[in-house]
Amino acid sequence: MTNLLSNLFNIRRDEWRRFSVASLMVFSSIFGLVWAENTLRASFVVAIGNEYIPFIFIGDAIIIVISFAFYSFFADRFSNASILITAKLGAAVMALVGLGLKQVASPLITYSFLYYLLRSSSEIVSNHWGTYLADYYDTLALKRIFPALAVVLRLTAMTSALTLPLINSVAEQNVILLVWCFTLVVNGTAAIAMPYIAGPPTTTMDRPAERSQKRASYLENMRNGFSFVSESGFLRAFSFMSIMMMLVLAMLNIEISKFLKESYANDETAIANYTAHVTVIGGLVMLPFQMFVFSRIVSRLGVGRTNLIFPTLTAILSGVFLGFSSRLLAGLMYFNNTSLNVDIRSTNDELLYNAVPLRVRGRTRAFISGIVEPIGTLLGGGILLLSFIYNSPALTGLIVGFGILYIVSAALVTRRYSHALISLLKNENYSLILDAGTDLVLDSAALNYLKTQLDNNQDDDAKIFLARIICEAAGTDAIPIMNDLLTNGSSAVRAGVIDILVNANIRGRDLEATYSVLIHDDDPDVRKAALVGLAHILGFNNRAYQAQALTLLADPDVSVQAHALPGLLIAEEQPQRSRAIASLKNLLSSEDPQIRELGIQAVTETKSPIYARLLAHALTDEADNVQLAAIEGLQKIGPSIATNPETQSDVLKHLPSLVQTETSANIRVLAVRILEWLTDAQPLLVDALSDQNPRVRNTAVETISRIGKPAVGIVEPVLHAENIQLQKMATVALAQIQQSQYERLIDNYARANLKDIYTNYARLDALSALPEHPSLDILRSTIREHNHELRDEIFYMLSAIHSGDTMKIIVEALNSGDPRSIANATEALDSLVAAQISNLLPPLFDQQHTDSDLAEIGQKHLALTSPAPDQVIRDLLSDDQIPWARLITFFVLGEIGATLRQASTQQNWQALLADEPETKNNGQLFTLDEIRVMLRVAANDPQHHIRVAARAAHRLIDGKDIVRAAHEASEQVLSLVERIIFLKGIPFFWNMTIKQLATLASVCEEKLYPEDSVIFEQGVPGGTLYVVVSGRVGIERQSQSSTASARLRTVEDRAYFGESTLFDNSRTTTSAIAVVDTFTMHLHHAPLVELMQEYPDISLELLKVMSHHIRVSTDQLAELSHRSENRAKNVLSKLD
Amino acid sequence: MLSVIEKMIFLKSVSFFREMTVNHLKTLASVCEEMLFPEETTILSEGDPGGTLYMIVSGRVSIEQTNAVRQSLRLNLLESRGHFGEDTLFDNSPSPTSAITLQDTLTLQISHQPLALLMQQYPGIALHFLQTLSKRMQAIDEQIADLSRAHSRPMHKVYDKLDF
Repeated sequence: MTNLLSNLFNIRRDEWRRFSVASLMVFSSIFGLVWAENTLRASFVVAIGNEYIPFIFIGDAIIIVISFAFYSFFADRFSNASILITAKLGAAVMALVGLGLKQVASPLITYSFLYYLLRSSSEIVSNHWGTYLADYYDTLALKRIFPALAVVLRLTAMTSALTLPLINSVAEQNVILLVWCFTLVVNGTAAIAMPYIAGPPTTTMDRPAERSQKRASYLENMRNGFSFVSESGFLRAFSFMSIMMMLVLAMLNIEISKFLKESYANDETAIANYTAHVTVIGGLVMLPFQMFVFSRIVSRLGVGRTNLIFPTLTAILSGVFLGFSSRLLAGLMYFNNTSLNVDIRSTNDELLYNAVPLRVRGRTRAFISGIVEPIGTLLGGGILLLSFIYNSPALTGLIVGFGILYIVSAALVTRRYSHALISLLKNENYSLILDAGTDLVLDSAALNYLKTQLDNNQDDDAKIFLARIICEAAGTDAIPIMNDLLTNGSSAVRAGVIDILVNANIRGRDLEATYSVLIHDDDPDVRKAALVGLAHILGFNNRAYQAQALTLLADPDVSVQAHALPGLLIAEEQPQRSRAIASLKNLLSSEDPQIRELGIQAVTETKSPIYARLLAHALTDEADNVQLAAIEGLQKIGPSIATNPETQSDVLKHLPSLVQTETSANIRVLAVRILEWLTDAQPLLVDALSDQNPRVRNTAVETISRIGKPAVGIVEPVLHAENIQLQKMATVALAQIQQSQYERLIDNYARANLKDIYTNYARLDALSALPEHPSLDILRSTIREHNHELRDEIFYMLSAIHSGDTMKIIVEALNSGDPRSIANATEALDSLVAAQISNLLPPLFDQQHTDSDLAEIGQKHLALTSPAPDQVIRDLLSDDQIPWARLITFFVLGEIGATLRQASTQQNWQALLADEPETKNNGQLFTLDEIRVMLRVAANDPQHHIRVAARAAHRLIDGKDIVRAAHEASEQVLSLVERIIFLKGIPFFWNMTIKQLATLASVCEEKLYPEDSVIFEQGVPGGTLYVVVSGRVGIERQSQSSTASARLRTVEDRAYFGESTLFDNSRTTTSAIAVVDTFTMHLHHAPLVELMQEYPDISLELLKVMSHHIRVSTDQLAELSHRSENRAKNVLSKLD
Repeated sequence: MLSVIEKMIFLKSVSFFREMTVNHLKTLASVCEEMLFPEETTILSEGDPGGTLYMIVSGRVSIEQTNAVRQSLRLNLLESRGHFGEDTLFDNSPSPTSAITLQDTLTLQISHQPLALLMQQYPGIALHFLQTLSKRMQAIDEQIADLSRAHSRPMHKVYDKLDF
């Protein structure tokens, strides 16, 4: 039963308890409200004169403002539950007072009191209700719960309205009012009981912070609310829309009331019954709509677009009603203004508030309901009052005009809704706090403190460090202190301080004098720095500077010479310039590449296009570092290359080869950047788009988008290239220039990626049926990683058409694991991309989903089939998309084959004995022969790694010992896959991706050590990690006294050693001996560090593992020294 | 209370961060939190979730562990510039020791989350930590070696054969 209801109402099973209590509250509240409202309004309308009907609504507005003064005083200061309880119980008390008034005062006074009491309490509660519920549900859950509660509301309203005419015929009005009072009490009690029945509030994130602040006055809250609203475009639009809504509704309600009063000739019971009837009929119509349709409409259209439904309906209906007045139309209008208003508009508004940050939601809501909306009512009432007094019916035509304005404002809100969601995510995102940074500020006390530290500290490093802080914060005030250091400090300090002063942009006459002296300092570093300092104060073009620099052209130290060059090379005067050029020529023709590099750097410093040709020539230098310096220089001179045709042609001669063939990614990246200024060479950008290094590709995309329109012609043809990767990159680049044209294409690629991703999950699901093999594990990991890359690629492409920051925030939120953030991110994604894409992306981040879950989703949404395991293997053998997949699959065949052979050897004996033919087992994927056939294909493959893998597979099938294989082979024995498997066995590398491991594995080396040979001695430089593939290694430490050595441990197959020196290249503290013939694989420090620079995640994993090691070792240490307390203390304290 | 600058100066004097660049230190200082603990307070209990590095600016802290017979064993006494908690900083495992103040103590704390984010942006910091931890591991291995028994190599081979 509950299952059926769960599905109907879209409610989860664990939410039923809370939902029940909430429903009870809704029921009691609405029941009493409907009775009371119909009755009191009818009585009020009758008691007041015709021309004064607008006053009902004007009074309404004023009362609301006042009640809100009260409400917002408490809004974010007390718990949501206590506010609700107080409001309900307080209203009950006042209702009783009103009943008393009825006996003694005139109808006008009584009914105005009661009516306004009703209005104010119901407004407060209906506004607070959403905030109250948000304590118990998150965004996505609220999206489902609200419509369900609205159904309850509908049913209650219908029941209540149905029974009202009945009650009216048997009892008098007082009974109705008493019932209303009673329901208020029930409600308050339920709110008190909620935490006990249904568990305490779940989201109390922002509560403590609020409590610790001082209480703010109503005015301050309104001011806060006002500032929140005025700062947010979304909220401004929302406010305007609310004003329009209230205005239009007020006007319409007044017209309806006027009409009913005339039509029923002042009979208040008849009017009450009429409105009750409309409520019932309307309810019957709305009930199925609510139960089945509304929440699905919201899910399909999104909250933003649903917002437009009510304004449109209202405008249309109002036109019809005002044109042709009749009871039916009045009823219809009344229905719109009450039922539809609540069920569609109000419900959806609650959901719109989700885009407002939680900590300000209460005050924002209070401001909008307490000030903004009443303004609307006031305006509406006021306008109609004028029309009544001056009796000009034409003014009612204004209503339709405002109705249209209402629609327009709602459209604006819809548009701004998704922006609001995204900035909500931004605010709740932690990582941005780090970017905020802190700026250093010093007062004189702090400055003195630092000065004392400076004087007391003897360490050069510390002095320089302190000097930097002082300069950065104190600016020119620091000069006296610095001068002191410059005269009295060591040479390192002197050089360092000048450096710091230049960086902190500090200038002064005193400094100039000091620098001029330091130019002739003994230490070359100081001389260099002094030159830089002088250049900083005087500038290159200054005569005095040039004179000083000239003296250094003949300096014994080459690098000082180089530093003196830039200023002189651009000197106006002749002797300076020609001498400089001669000096430069000297440098550039030196045999030593370091010196040539210095020359190039000097040229770069001139920032002058005249010398750019020299840079262009240097592009062909044989030394890597000179090339890099030349290309960096060209990039700095950049734009002026474009204007100098000679330089352009020189660069053009050499650049193409750099982009296409240069091995260093850094140089390729810079070369691509330079293309921005070389219009003739821009077709090279296309080559760069398909570069193997992602940095180069991204730089190409960036450069293209910087070039803008002119690049479109070059890149467009690529859209039809064969290489899909190339197509995608080209589309991304073009989309950044002309978004609207390529949006479609990007959408298509995103969908294609999604299809690939889900197909792969289907494959993974199929593969999981196979028995475990280490290489199968690796294969699955590879496929999974490829999926992650495809997924990231989707976001990369999407960020070409939506802002990159937005996508970054959405991805972070989806990864966060926090249900609230995920819900918000999904909403945001929903409003930005097509439904199919936004439905399929979030499941990819959910850690709870297994492969088969995702495969199922793929089947459901994309109509994908589930393949059989052997078909998957065959597919993967020829799949070029997933990196390493073919390689690994060949090896998998080897492992499968090995298992088969072992099984079949047994079988063969049995078959021999039983005289039966060899058949394929049930559940067996392939026969041994089929495998051998598939491997034969690989034996002649053009790729080296695949051939090695095939050989390794054969080795496994034939059951050959690896040490024997190592003896026999002259080339690589271990295939890449096996290396990866070994590396994976080391805890350090457990969480690395297959791609990273493959990179490491490809630079590993192998070696066979005969028995008793020394792998390394104690005390030699380390930096290598060894894995024992087969054999045994003893790790020993020589004690200081004798030649005897302690055997620390013995390392066997698949274990490793040498890790403690891997990261810092320190000397080994132990020696390693091969106890038997041992085959090892080893990894060096340098490639690992390179990998860590590119993937910081690896470092984090490694740190985790190392911490664990240290802990284990510390325990071991404690064990060994457990005998004596003191000993342990001594040992551990030595470690600090 | 402590300004960013004072934090930076202090951090540089802690052995852990001795070789960090000024920029890295500045960013680190901005995610450090200060906390003052009165005398005789337990900063950390054995088994508490880890993930925080504590550095003592001033004061005195005793690092203790309970042994098998429920006795509290004092492992170490830390003063200004001392630090603890680094062994659980990176993997968030429960603390193997407890830390109790012997005087009013001012500490600077860094927790895992902000540090991890920082290391994403500046891989150099992670490398630095790796090297520090690596040296630590070596030191412990040395100590273990010192306390283990020493034999001549042929004897080891005999023991090896006997292992089967």
